[in-house]
Amino acid sequence: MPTDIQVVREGDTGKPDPFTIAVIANPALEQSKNTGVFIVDPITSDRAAFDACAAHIDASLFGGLPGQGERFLGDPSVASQIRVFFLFATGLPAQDGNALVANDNVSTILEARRARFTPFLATFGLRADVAFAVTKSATHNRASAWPATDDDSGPGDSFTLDGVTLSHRHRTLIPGTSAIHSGTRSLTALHEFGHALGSFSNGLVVDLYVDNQQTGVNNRRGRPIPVNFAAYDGVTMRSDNTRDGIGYPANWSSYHCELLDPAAGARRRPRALPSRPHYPPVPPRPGAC
Amino acid sequence: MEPLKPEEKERILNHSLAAPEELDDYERLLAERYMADPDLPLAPPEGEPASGMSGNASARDAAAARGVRVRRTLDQSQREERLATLHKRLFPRRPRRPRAVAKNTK
Repeated sequence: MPTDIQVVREGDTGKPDPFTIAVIANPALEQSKNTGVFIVDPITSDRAAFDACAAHIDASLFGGLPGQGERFLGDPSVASQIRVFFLFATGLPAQDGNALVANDNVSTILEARRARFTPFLATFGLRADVAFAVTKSATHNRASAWPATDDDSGPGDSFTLDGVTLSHRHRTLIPGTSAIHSGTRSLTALHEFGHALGSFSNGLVVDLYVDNQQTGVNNRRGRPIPVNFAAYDGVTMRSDNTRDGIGYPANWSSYHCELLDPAAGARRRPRALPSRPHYPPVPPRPGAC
Repeated sequence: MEPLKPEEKERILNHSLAAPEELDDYERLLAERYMADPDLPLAPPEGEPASGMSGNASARDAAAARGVRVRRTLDQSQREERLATLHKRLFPRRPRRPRAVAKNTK
């Protein structure tokens, strides 16, 4: 079973377990979700496609794409603390435990089989806080991501959101995960990372291009749009009254938070991120040690 | 999730019987799928203890206070049914071509 593990960013070497992002060539693909039918993912025969996609993911997360205005993890305060590795393994059987991605059955969405990631990585002695599975599915090409299921019984760094105490947990029960096609470019990986960085119990980062019926840290509902969006650790953040200049559809109830840098929003095309430098910053979950 | 490009939306609507609002509904429901923990154990009937992930009970309460749904079963199945219906309308199968009937040559 040939395996190549490439550590592209060491992260905080002073910690035994820094915040870690994995980019994995998906070994097996569930042909249609919940069918139990698995095939070897074509990505395992295309190292070049995986390498190109993995490099693109890394660059987009750290603000390294040409002309990229969104710096995100490339912010000097966090960039050097984050560990990133790529994993390319071949020869693995097409079976449940090796299938990190499923083709959705009602769309062309690629869905991460999130509960498989941790045990799969563990077979290589690895772990991750957020993981991408890169696929070369022949039929599906839309990326998606699941937030993390935090370990709320473990340690974390508390914060308040509109007076409710939540926590940036140090550990997850299930990491944030994303399934992404090897041909995907633009800022899709960064968009999906935004979702995967959230958690079901401590703050969802939701899509802003639909009128979400539910709220997340970056989405509220109601009209008229209030001046204040929310308060994060006692700091009040304002609402984006114009949706970055494109306006809210007349039948919408959702509204979003103001950009951290409205001028940057005006210069940037297209709007691929669920929430760009909006509040809250949603910093990476710190390592435990 | 990755949004549909405008040209993709146009192509879908041009080749289906669905209205634009149905495509909007479809996209919204797909996005909402990823807002509910698919691995959260079912909320038990009243009076019975919760199973699994008990350490997350207080977090679930906090999530519920923010309007985030924590009970999944019926909502999930209803959403998937609606998605399946919309999918059929947005991506109709091409009608089968009638099979040629073999002529009796005798």
